[in-house]
Order: sequence, then C-alpha cells, then structure tokens
Amino acid sequence: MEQELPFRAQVVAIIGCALLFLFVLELVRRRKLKEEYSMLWMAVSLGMAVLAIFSDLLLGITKAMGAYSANSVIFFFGLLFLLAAVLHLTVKVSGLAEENKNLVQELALLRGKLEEKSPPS
Amino acid sequence: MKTLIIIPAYGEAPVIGEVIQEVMKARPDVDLVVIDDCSPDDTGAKALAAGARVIRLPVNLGIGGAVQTGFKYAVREGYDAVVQVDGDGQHDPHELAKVLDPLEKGEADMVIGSRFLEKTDYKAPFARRVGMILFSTVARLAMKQTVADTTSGFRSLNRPLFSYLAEHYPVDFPDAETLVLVRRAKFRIKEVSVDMRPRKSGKSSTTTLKSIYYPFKQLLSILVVMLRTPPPRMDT
Repeated sequence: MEQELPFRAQVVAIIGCALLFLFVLELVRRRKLKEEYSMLWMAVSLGMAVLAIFSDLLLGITKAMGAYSANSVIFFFGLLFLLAAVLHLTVKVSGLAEENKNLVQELALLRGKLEEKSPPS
Repeated sequence: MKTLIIIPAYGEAPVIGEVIQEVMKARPDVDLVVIDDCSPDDTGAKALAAGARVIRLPVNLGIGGAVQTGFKYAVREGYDAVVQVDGDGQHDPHELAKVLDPLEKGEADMVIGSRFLEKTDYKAPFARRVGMILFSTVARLAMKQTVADTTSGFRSLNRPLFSYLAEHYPVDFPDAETLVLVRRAKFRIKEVSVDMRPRKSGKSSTTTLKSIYYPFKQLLSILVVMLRTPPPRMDT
C-alpha cells in the first residue's frame, strides 16, 4: 500500500491550494467572479489543502473505498467534481439562453412599437 | 376574425417584397407582420418598403424564436387568428382561405397546410426514408393522430393556441415537438392539402447530413415532451 506523502510534495500541494484560494479571492475582488461561484472554488481549495496537510485522511478514504491507490481516489473525485461543475454550467447556460431569447423578443417588439410611431429614416 | 399573417424571414431580400405584395393582393383584409430574424441583407428594409409591418430581431434567434415573436406580437395586438407563411414564396397566398376556414368554423385550433396529404412523386434517399418512417411512427404514437407533414411552415392557429405557444414554444426544435406539445395540451390539429411552389430563393435548412441526424434529434425532443407534464392552459 501507499506511503505517507513526502514532506516536499505536501508543501507543494499546500502552496498550490493557497494560490488557487488567493486567485479566486482576487477574481471576486475585481468583480470578475460572482460570490455565489467563488464559494465553490474556495471550498475546493480548502478541501485539497486539508487532504494535503492530513495525508492520512486520504489514505483512510482510499482504504475505506477499497481503492488500489490514493492517486485513483484523487482522480476519481477530481473527475466527478469537474463533471458536476460542467453539468451545472450547461444548466446555467440553458437558463441564460432562455432569458436572452425572451429579452431579444421583448426588445424587438418594443422597437417595433416605437418605429410605428416614428418610422426609421 | 381579426387575422394576422406572420412571415418569419431570414435573408430573403430578393423575394420578400414580391411575397408581401402577393399576400396583400390576395388578402387585403388581413394584417401582415414580417419578423426579420437579424438578416445579414436588407430583408427588413425591403419588407418595410413593400408595405409590411416589420419586427426586427436584434439577434438571430432561428425560425422558432422568430415565429414565437410573431405569436407574442399577435397576443399584444389582440388578434383572433394567425397564419404562419414562409418568406421564400413557397406558399401560395390564394390558399390562405384553406388553412383559415377550419379555424373560422371552430373545427380546429391549428390547421396545417400539408404537402403530403395527397400522393406526390417525392422520393427520398433510403437513409432519409428510414428516418422519416421511424420518426413519423413515433410522432403518430405520441400525438395519437396522423400528421403527414410535420415540418410544414404553412399553418394557422387560433388565439387560445398562439397565446399558449407565445409562452411555451420549443424554439430549438420547433417542428414536431410543437405538434406533440400542442396535442398533449389537448388542442385540436387539422391538416388540409395545399400545393407548394418551388421556393423563389434560398436553400432548404435541411442538408444531407442534417436529414440523417434530424429524425434522431426529433425523436429525442418528442421523448422529452412526452416525459414532461405540459404547462397548463390558461383558456380552459
């Protein structure tokens, strides 16, 4: 079975998580990202940091799942998370497309009304 | 009956004026609105010059979104009936009475001007034929009614129905999905036979690749409509 995470790898992982966290925070500060979505990414970076600091936890999960290696557990959850994130985004886009269509129609109808009164030259 | 003719148009500048004048000559008693689906050419200006009212969409929404805009317009302007007519001159305006008649008599909520009701010489390639048969079978089962021409763009609707579709129109796959939705919401569909002329301009929106893939897309969308409870009607 797996060994404990080497100290250096641990440090690299923690730094990576911290950078992600700070980057997300900066995006929110510059209003490039809505708070609603930032929570998710902050949670992810914190979660990964927790796993990096307490690497026993990951090994425990691996054992509990009956997985062969901790790597595959990480990839499994990573993939699952990305899948859920993309699905969520396509749902959001569908909603936006519907709203956008309604707005375009509304705008066209109002413009039509306006042009009825004063035809475009 | 206060009737509105809706002509969705995309890139029909060379013929739209002629189409409009023909319709106005054939039926001077009805109003006409052209929905210009953000055409790259001057379809909108040509339509306006021909004497039509024009609603110009600032963004291209596709045929479904354009037609639905027409329904919304008809709801707001208080029309009793609408007829959807293609902007490419395929539909003979002298046949407008045929699709409006059953509506006026209260025999149906939607009347489809159909190309295939009577035998024609139209022969489709094998792959397409298989798709069409499969598709029409499913559509028939879903609708509990046979509709020979599910993709006809020549149809009339009464106020309860176009008000309903102004709110709930499957704009992405408008053809058969609309029919299934309409049937599921307990509206009555009638089909009448009309002659189609060769289009004056433009190409069919159906290409070979699309014609193979299209039935499957339609099957999926029908299935989804069947799984949904149709939105409630406001008129009953």
